[in-house]
Amino acid sequence: MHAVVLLKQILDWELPPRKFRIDQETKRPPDGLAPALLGPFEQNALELAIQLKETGVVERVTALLAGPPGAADALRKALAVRCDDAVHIVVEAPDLHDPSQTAELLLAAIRRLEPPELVLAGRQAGDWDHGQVGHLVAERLRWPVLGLVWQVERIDGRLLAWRSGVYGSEQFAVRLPAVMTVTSHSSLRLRMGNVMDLMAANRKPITTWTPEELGLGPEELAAAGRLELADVWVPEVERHCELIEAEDPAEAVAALLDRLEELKLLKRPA
Amino acid sequence: MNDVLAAEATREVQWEVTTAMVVVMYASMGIALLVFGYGIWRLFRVWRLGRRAAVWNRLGARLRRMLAAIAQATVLRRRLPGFMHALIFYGWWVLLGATCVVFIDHDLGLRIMQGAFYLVFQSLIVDLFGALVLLGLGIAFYRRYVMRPQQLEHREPADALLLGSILLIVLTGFALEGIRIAATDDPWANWSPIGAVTSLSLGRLANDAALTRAYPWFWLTHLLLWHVLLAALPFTKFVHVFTSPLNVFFSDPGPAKGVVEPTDFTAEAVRLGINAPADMTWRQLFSLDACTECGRCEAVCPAHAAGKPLSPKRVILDLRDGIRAAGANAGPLAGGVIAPEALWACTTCRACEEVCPVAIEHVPLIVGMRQNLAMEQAAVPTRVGEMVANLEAREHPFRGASSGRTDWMEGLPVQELDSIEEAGDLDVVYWIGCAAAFDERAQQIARALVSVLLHAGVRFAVLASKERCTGDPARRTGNEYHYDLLARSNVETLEGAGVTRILTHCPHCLQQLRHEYRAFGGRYEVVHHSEFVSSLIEQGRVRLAPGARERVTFHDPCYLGRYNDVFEAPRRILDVLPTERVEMPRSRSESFCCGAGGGHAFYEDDDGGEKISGIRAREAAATGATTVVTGCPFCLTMLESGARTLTAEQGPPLRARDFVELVADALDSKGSGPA
Repeated sequence: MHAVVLLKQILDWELPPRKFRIDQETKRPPDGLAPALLGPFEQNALELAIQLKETGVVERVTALLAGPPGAADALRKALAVRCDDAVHIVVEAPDLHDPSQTAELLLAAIRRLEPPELVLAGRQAGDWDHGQVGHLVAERLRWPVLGLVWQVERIDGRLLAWRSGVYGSEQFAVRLPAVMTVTSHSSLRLRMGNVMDLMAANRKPITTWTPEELGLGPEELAAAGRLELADVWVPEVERHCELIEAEDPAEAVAALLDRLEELKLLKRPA
Repeated sequence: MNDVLAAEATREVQWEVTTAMVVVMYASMGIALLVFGYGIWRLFRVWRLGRRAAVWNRLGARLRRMLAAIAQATVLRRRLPGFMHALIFYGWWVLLGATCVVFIDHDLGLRIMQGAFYLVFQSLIVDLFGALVLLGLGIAFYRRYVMRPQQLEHREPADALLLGSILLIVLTGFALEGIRIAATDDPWANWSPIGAVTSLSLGRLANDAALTRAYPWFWLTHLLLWHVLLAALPFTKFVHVFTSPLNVFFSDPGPAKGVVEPTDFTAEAVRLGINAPADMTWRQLFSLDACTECGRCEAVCPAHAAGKPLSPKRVILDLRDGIRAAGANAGPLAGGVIAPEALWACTTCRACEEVCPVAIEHVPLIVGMRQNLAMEQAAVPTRVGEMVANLEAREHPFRGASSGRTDWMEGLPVQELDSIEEAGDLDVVYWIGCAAAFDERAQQIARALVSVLLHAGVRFAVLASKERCTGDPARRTGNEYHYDLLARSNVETLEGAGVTRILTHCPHCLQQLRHEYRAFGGRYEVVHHSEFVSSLIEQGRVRLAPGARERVTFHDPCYLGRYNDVFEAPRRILDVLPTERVEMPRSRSESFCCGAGGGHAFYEDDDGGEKISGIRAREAAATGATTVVTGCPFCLTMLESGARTLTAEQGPPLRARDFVELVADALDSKGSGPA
């Protein structure tokens, strides 16, 4: 069985919030603000794909990514943890504002690959948090989709998937082909990979396609879009810090409660 | 005088010994030599499994180190066991010398065993040194079987047999002398005081005829025991009489210490650390056979003291025994023969190497096995993996840092360096390191040092966002591939900017920039801020205001002291500040690690045990000091964390500070600028 894992690089999420900026022209953070890294949920999806390969549930894993040239780093990482192939749809911007367009690009590439039976995606990109791409790809493929998956096993010939549900963990039997979006879990922390694989990954070829090669020129891509980002800004957060001075903890607590009551943030029973 | 040192003075060799006994003795000696040779050949076969090693450079330094070790200088660093060993060692050589004299006189027919030489050396000196061996053996027995220090390796019955056979050889030697004196009425008996006393006792026990009959049997026993010892030598730790001095000669003569051997990632067959004997150099394999099992390494190991599953002694002995048993097929060594928990517990503090009397290098073996765990097996503790991922993604090891690399210098008049040429006349380039960039507490060190530099009128610049981690935490945790990338990038940046003189407050960066970047073409003059500030003070460029005296103790960072031999500079600074400096029991080259080294600042080993930092903080508090001063941002974090674990009974609250913070506090603001 062939599985495709959808990847995306996002701006380093450890960038201190006060350093975060938006370029009003591109409606994106300016280039070079912080390194671009493989998103955390995509790391989980990649780890799950590799685990499925190790346990023999899938035979081949292809990592697929739509992003700027530099995003090839994420694909190298995927190859370093033993993905079999890597495909890069080279777009100039870090991402497309409309998840429908992203899904259309990925779908076009998936259709060119050896037909997969399983597509894994992160539950949401860690930057825009739309959480749509995996579902949109499933819709276009007319495949079932299971969200927030954190474990998949083949038991007695059936594929069983565990997902985080409203009331706890849920287990589903899944009929293939299917799309799954993957959530974070301690068992899905992306492995380090050994150095021989890391070095081999640097020598492995990455297939690159342009949107045009996938039949999605600017016009087709625009036609696939449904949403337009009208505006984006960093909300202003005002902070006011007040230190409560006191001799001992008991006095400090009493003073803090008084102050919170004064600010009408707390009301003590009479 | 002529009567006293009579020219005819001598004794008969092989007195009353039958020809048959002589034949038995020589036959036994032949067998012993064969067994000995076989044993050495077996060891040699193991040593040959190793890779090439350079051991002939810096010959003078190597010889000096070896001679010092032979003169017992390294052994005598621990008083009682050192004294014990020196007695047995020196005594044994004199007794061996006496045996050689007999051989030359009797077997080679060169009559040297007579006259003054016979009386002074062969009788008096040999007698006295024989007694010293007995004293040494007495201490050894007492220590091993009564005191029983925990660090001492116990292998029974081998230990008892080794000590016992030496004891019996000496006792039978004295018995032989005593019998001969008693039975022959030796006119020069007084030159052999112990022999003379023995003869008196023996004379009471038996008559001359009985003693004469017993003599050849004592003689045969004496020599057969010798042969047993000789044959057993290569099969027991006693082989150290040969391997230890040679190991000191072969060991790294410095001056740089603890430099990790780079890996050639362009090689066709890349060797990823140590997992089999063939991954080790022959020198490393040889060093395993130099171990005397004294356990000093274990006694000073901070991880062992904190109850972690590491004993440097066990690492050496388990490797030795594992490789001796399975030869080339021994392994896997990393994570097999040596448990991964033991390897990850090491702080690379080098206390074990510093104390080892035979110059075994434990840390390169441990780091070598970590390299295999990290690079080949991809089996590292979770936090180490996260740290490496952080280095890969962000070029610094601090996960979840809330600062940017240049935040620490906000509001400070610090010049950013593009190139030395453009910067003009600079005294030094200040390398900040990741700790002071990303750790809020350590940022205060950089700010304090900058205030001292500005006060003293030092012309300096920083690389700011062009700096990246030196790679030290990657290298010490065995992630050499990631280290290699970082080191090459940094050397490229430094070379590109034309940097030649670097100042740093981080001993880990110091070790990298001063020593370890040389393998990547980076040759710089690098100074630690203790050396730099100390020289500024000596030049009168720092004006200090008087202040209230504070009792302080200095914690020697491992990478500053043991790795780089900087012990006095920080103390000189403390001594001109309004401080009363007291020393902890373990200081300077015997300093006890804070627990951060070897990448431990970024991961906790969850094998239980105590926190190393807590032990050190207790030691600091016990001096009565209110501040423990150090010169390393990682030690500072650790000591602060250790100080928080102190209870009220363990002393008053303890602060941890970098010495430059004390200097900055004491600056005379009225006199800012060069004095």
